[in-house]
Amino acid sequence: MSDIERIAAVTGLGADELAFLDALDANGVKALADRLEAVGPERDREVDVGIEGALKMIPRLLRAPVRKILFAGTR
Amino acid sequence: MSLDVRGEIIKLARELALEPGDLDFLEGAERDDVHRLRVAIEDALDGRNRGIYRRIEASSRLLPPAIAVRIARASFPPLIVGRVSEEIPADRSPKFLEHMPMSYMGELLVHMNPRRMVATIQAMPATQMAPMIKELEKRGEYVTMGRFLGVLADAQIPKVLAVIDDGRTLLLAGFHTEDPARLDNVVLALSDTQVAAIREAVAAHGLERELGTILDALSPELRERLESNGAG
Repeated sequence: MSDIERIAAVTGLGADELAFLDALDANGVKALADRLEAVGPERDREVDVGIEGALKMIPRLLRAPVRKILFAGTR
Repeated sequence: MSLDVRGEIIKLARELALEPGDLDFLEGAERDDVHRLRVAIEDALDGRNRGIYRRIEASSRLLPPAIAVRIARASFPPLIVGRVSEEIPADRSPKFLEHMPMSYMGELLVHMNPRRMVATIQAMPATQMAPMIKELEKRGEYVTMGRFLGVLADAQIPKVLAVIDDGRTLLLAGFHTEDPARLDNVVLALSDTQVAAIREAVAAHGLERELGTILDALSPELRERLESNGAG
């Protein structure tokens, strides 16, 4: 998969909307594609770690109802 | 959309937790192309977690705002708190603001996306907004100021601008506005003193390019207002 295809896969943009990247520095485009693939999972982890930490700080009595709301659906 | 590709690069770098210099290769692209890419990236990354951001905000309603703010600050990075804060409805936001040090609020504002909270921003009285504007000014956060400027209600613009005296801040906030079509309203709301301050800032800081870009986006009569004060 080319770097532009990797960027398209994350952003949902079409090939025509990303065609401008062809004219730019290839190393820069590759670094952008790498970063795009990494940043989503990084942010998911920050949310998960944050929730774990927050739950520990919430008064015990409220933990169950808070958990019920937090885990009521997918991300 | 920023008036300039650099504004788009700064916003994209923030979204990706990079330095703007890491994206210098985008300088050679058209502003519209980088804008489209930046918005698509913001939406894609946000879409991964928007559901959980909503539920974090919903669960915070079980807690007194002071405790919710303390837990949020201790547990999540500012970007996540900023994104969750976008979900706080207008009638609840003052309760949280009471417990938030303005320096911390400044960190959150940098990461918040005004496009997702237009109703909340437009319901906010100028008295509540003024300290935030001053905090952003103190931080030199012209890009963030421009993002928020782009979603203010017309009636809010004069009240918000009234708290800014510095010509450089006024010029750069306008330069980075998310919605250049609003610049007419911005220039209309400026006092003569503020217009003069902008002119002085252009000369003092070499901001002719920024001024020229703004002038190009204005209607002829408002362009004349800035130019007739000697600017341009």
